[in-house]
Amino acid sequence: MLCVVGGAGTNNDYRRPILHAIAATGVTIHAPLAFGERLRTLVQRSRIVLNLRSFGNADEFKMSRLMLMFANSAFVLSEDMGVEGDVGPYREGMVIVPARDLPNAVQYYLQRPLLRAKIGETGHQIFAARTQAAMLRDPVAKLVQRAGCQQS
Amino acid sequence: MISPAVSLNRCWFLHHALCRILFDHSSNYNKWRNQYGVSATLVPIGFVPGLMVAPRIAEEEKDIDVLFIGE
Repeated sequence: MLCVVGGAGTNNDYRRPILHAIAATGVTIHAPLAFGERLRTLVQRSRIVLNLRSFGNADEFKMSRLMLMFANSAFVLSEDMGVEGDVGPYREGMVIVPARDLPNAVQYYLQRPLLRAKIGETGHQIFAARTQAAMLRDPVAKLVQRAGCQQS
Repeated sequence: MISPAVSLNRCWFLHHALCRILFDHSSNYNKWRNQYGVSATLVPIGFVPGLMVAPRIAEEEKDIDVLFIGE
């Protein structure tokens, strides 16, 4: 099987060995930087979206990186990362494995399109139920209340 | 969303102005609260319909097996 790893992410000393391990399973790595419309097109064309830690720090979970993926029902395969409060709500809507298991996980899920579609749709439903308006309601209300108190 | 590299003078201003610092994940939120004493609010990133921008295509039309994302 000829595989292509498209890239919107940057390579570094932490990520390089992981990407090489995936490449060793027969995957060809192609990693152009992409944003905006180009990134959206790449997401649309991709079977698996791979999410890696930036520098090995375990507590990061960057929704700014994943929001486009969840919104568009992409199948996300992620290295384990993040604290439970951040990643917990999304566990059913993505696959999270240790870095050493990523090469096998890539091969496993590439061969299971229906399972990928189901998990991607679950991720979308979870995300769609957590609207930004709902997230901001209380903080904005407190800001308005605080501003009102300072003006009076 | 805001790097700790931002100057502490700016933090002081933000802390004492009407503005509040909003973070989207716990690690930054805890770091700023615990290490810099900044009053912060944790606001997770949520869904907005405008993010749905890529119409789904059939499996056989997908030509990238793995897309690597991340800044």
